[in-house]
Amino acid sequence: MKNWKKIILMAFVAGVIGGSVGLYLFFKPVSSTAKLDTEVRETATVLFQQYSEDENSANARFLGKVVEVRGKVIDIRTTDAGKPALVLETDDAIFGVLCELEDEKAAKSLQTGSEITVKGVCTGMLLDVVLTRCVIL
Amino acid sequence: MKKLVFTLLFIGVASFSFAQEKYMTRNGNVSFIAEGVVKDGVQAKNDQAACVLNASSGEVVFQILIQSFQFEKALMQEHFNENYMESHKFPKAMLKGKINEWKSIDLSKNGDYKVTVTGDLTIHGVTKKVTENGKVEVRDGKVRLTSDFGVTLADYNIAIPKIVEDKIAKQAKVSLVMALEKTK
Repeated sequence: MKNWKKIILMAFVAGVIGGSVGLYLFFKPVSSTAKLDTEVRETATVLFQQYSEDENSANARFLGKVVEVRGKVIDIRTTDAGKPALVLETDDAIFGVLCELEDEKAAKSLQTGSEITVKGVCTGMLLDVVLTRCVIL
Repeated sequence: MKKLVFTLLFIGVASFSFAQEKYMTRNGNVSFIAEGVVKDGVQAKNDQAACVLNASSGEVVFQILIQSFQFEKALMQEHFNENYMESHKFPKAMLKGKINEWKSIDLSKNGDYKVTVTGDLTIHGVTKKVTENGKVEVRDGKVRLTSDFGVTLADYNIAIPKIVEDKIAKQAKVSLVMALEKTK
């Protein structure tokens, strides 16, 4: 009889723990990039160059990774949805590394021409190489 | 080689049109909602869509990176990329087409126009011919393109497991907003 009670109690506790973990994982918001470990470090020029030369191998190295990129700010802009973003200079005359900022206030203290390091998640290349959820280090 | 492809695709929507007028954005917004019977917040936004419009011909190219879609829930974003869209294998989606009513649009004065776009929509490595409704707004020399349309997931080989089929709609509602500026 005592064994049955123990088994029921253990099953109940396991159910509560399992359910709690499941709910936590289900509702867990996307983490701030500031809390994520950097996986790759590169300059904006080299990042853009690698995508320009061989997109598939650049994707294998950078796509979905937390990347720290150093470069010169050449443009500070607002996305069509009103979010702040900046562009880092590369060897390309028109396009660069486009970084969408996680913190809406982060762009206010920035100036074009300054050298900065940005940490963000690389999502690939369109016109620019794109980093999302960026934080300025 | 890749560089050449990008240049041809975006800067030269038509390969002979370098002297022609183009409008562009690299920060366009694409969002979708794919909630099933059970409302679970299956929706995401992407603020890094690229769009180039050839003002001479009405040809237009939209392109997005799948991993740029941002969800509120981390697990949902992970499942979207790894299980449904396989974004490491198919990192981009694209609509390349033409605004059918382009000849009736006057970019020299403000106005709103209901239009249709016919072209090839590529998602998850599958290309389908589509015609979608949209709107062109001309304001002080700038062009804003908007459209709302449905994407049937099965048409693009996006498989939804039985266990979550009540939570994910068979057809995603997609909205796009592109604020285009004349290229310098």
